[in-house]
Amino acid sequence: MPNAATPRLPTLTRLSSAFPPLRFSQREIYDGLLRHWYAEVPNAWELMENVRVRHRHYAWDPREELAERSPGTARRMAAYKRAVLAVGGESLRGTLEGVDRATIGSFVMASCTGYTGPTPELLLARDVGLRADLRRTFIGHMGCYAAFNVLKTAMDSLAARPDEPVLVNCSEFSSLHYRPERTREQAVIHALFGDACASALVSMEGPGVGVQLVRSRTEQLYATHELMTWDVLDDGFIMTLSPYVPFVIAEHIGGLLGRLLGPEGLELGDVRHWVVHPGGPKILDVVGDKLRLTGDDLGPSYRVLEERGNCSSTTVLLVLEEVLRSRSPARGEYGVMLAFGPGLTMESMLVRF
Amino acid sequence: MDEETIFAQVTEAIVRSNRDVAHATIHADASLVADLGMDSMRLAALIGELKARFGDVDLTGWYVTTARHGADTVRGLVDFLCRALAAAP
Repeated sequence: MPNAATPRLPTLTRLSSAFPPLRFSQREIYDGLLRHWYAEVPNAWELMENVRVRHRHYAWDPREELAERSPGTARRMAAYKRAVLAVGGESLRGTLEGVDRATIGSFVMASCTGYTGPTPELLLARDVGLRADLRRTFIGHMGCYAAFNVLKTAMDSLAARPDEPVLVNCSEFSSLHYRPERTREQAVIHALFGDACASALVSMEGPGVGVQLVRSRTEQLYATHELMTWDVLDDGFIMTLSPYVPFVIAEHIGGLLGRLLGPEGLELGDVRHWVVHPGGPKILDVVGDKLRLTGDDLGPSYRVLEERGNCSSTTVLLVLEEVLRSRSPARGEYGVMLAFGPGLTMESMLVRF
Repeated sequence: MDEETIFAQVTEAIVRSNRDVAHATIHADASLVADLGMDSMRLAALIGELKARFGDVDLTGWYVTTARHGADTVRGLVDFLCRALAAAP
C-alpha cells in the first residue's frame, strides 16, 4: 500500500515509436521535387540545410504524388487512413507487447494531419483488440503540442480511475500536405516536417517504475494567434509559420518554467533532463540560450530533428524515447518536457524518472 | 530617446546583423523579411542588437503585428520601440 512518502503518480511505463517505411535524405527530396518548385526562392538549398534535418520518413513519396498536380484533400485523406492504421497500429502493438489488453480502460489519441470517421482511435482499438467498453478520446488539429493534451487527459483519467491504465498515441503524417506554393515560408515548412507515430502506456505507479508525470502547465498567448496557422484547403492542409515564432517563445519561456517548477520548490538547476520539441533549429537555439542549457542537454532534441524532422505532436515523445535511450536517467532525477504550437500555445510538463 | 535617434539605432542594428543589406536601402516602409530578406538567423542577430541597445525590451507586442505579411516594417519597429521606451519605468 503506498504511503504519503511514496505517492503514486500517473507514470509512463512503456513507450514505442514507428515510422513509415519510406525514408529519404533532405538532398533526395530537394533534387527530386523542391529544387524545381523553389527555383525562384533565393538560397533554397541553403535554407534546406539550415533547418538541420538530414532524413525524414514519408507516408507517401511527394516526388511522385505531386509530380504533375496538387492532389485533392480526399486523396490525401485516403492516404492518411492507410498510414494511420498501418504505422499507428505498429507503434501500439509495440507498446502493448506482453500487456493484458483487458486491463486498459481508456485510449487517448492525437493527430492533426488527417481525418477519417469512425475516428482512427476506434479503428486502431479494434485492430489491436482493446475491450468493447473502452473510453476513447480523439484530439484533432491542435498541432505540435498535442502530446501534452493526450498526457493530460491520461492524468485526468487516472485521477478518476486510478486502477485503469490509459493507452496513448500520437500519429502524424505531414508529408501528405506538401503543396506547391513557391514561397520561402512553404520552403521552410517542407524542409522541416516528417512523419512518425508514438504510443505509450500510462498507469498509476510509485517511484522507479517509469516516467512519473508530476505536474503540467499550459500557457496561451492569445494575441499571437496569427503567427502560426493550420487550415484545411481543397488540396490538403496549409500551414503558415512566422519567422518570429521562436522569439515570442524566447520572451516567455523563462516565466513559464518558473511557474511550472516553483510550486514544487524546484529551480532550473534541479532539472537534469530536457525533452524539448524541436519545432525548428532556432526554437532549440532560443530555448537553450534563455534557459542556459548545454548542447548535451539538447542533444536528444537535435538528434530527433536531424534524423526524423519535426513530426508534429509525435515529436516530443520521440525526444523522450531518445532521452531514455541515450541518457539513461537515474531514478529520482527530474526532467522537463516542452512543446509549442498554434495559439501560440506553450505546454510544459515536469517529470521524474 | 527621440524617434530620430531610435530610427538611426535600428538602422545601424539592421546593417550590423545583416551584412547583405546596404545602409542606403533601408527605408521606413521596408519589411524586414519580405524586403530585406532576413531569415530567423538574421532576425535573431537583430533582436540581440536591439536588446543590447534598448535594455532587454519585451518585443512580444511587435511580433504580434508582424503576423500580417509584410507588416514587419522598419517604421513599425521604430514606433513600437518609441512606445515601449516611453512606457518603461
